[in-house]
Amino acid sequence: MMRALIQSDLMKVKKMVWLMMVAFPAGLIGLQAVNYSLRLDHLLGLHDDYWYFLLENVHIFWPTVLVLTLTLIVSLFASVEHETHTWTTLFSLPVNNGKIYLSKLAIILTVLIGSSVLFVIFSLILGLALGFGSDLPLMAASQMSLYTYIAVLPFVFLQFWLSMGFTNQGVALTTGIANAVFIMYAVDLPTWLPWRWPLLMDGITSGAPDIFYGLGTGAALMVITLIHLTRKDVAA
Amino acid sequence: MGNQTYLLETNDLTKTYKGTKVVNGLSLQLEEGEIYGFLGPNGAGKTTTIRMLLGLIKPAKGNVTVFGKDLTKERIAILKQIGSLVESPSYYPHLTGKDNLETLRKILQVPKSRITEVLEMVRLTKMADRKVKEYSLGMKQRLGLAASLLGRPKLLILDEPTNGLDPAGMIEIRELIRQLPAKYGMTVLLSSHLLTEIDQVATKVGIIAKGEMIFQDRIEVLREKASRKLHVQMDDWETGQKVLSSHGIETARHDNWLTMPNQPDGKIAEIVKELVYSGLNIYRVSEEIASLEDIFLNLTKGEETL
Ligand SMILES: Nc1ncnc2c1ncn2[C@@H]1O[C@H](COP(=O)(O)OP(=O)(O)OP(=O)(O)O)[C@@H](O)[C@H]1O
Ligand SMILES: [Mg+2]
Repeated sequence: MMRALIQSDLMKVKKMVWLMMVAFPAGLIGLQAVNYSLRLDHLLGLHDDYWYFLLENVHIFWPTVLVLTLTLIVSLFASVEHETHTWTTLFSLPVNNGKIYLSKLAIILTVLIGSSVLFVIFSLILGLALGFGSDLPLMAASQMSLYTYIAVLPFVFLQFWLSMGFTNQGVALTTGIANAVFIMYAVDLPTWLPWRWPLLMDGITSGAPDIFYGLGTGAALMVITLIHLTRKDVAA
Repeated sequence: MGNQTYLLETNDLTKTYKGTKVVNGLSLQLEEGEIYGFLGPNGAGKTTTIRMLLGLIKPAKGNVTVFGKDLTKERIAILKQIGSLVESPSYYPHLTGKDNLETLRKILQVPKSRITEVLEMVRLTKMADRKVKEYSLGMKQRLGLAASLLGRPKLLILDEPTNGLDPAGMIEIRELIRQLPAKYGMTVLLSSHLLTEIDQVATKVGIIAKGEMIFQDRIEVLREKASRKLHVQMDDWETGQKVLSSHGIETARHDNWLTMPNQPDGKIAEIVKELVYSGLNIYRVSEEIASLEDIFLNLTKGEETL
């Protein structure tokens, strides 16, 4: 049944989702390409390991961009149903209510993985274009991307709850964008605050403790979100 | 009839919004093969009731039994055999009509050919490959109806299905609904705020007003409630009134018309004879039958009790 639900949800996905999945990481790497091309000598002088320094640089704004991406994507998935009151039709189908949400969640998480993988690929392409050599830092790049992904999970579930639970997307979008911006200034926050986790302050290849916080908080939020969404009245 | 089991039955169904009982102690019984007209003015609680029948919202009190099963315990098994269209039809405007049905078909797991069948049933085949945002309101309504038929349901629950249709479309959909029990063995619950809409299809009527069921019976029983009146027009109404009152018939006057409760044929003949013998000129004798709509309006105004 999950497969049927996912196939059904995939039919409804708006093209904008795929566009955002590609455009956000591409845009971020594009900016770094401009940055590097303008002050290449200066930047190369800052660190011996060109590849690692490049990854650190592209990662600076990645948490913000990823939270922005997920905010918009989750909202798109929700508004497909909100806009034309299709929740009623969906929940009148002989399917467990939780599965209807899980299907959307599975697609959203996969799209975000897609975005994260593209981010790694674009980063490596940039490094190659800058002539950093073919000794690709595959491991480091994957760790950076994966750890960030795990650390933003709490934001995925928060946005999922706000977007799916309330018809008006204003609150969800405002919260998501505010969080995305706030992450840029979270460097000095205490370690237990979620805005700090995706910044991977202990180094982009060191997940602990951020990913454990992210996983734990994410799992807790997912359970609470699903319980609330499946129990509430379907009134539209 | 005694202890038969109903296809759908509610017991003391109640829903409260902000302290107001929007649906209050509703007991509704639906037998197999019936077309049940669920009538009530705007805001009476029809949609709220239907949402409870589908388990979309939880009642504050009471229970729903469908196909002999408790809705709270076996919701999914029950929903497998229910098709529904609640309030305005829902659809994805960026998909074609066919693809809209396909998103549901995948979940209902019925053969692809079923899409062609239901599109034909609602006469939407020509528009099937057009995006739904290009559909007129009536076409969207048909698509909603097609979607509700997709899973070959045993019970079809339709909330104001002819909303937004033109008269020809209304008649067409009404004809389609009328055939469903005989042709496909379906039972239908049909809500409306217009009696005329269900008058010609329903076999049983439930009338809800301010959240309470104020009438539930076969439509013929409702028709019998139609009160008849007799109007007689004459030149000298004062004499006429005296003559009639001496025969024990109280009348009301409007211009030179006298109005009285309807009488059996023999009695009418007698009345007319008496009036003529008293030297009056009788101009017109006419009978007024309150339409079903009047009865419905009277019932739902809450002025008259049954
Ligand atoms: N989610 C809600 N919150 C608060 N009140 C509600 C809600 N849904 C319905 N109501 C109220 O419940 C009452 C019944 O509404 P309902 O939609 O069931 O009426 P209806 O009979 O379907 O009317 P209509 O013919 O206009 O569709 C109305 O007074 C409405 O304002
Ligand atoms: Mg309604």
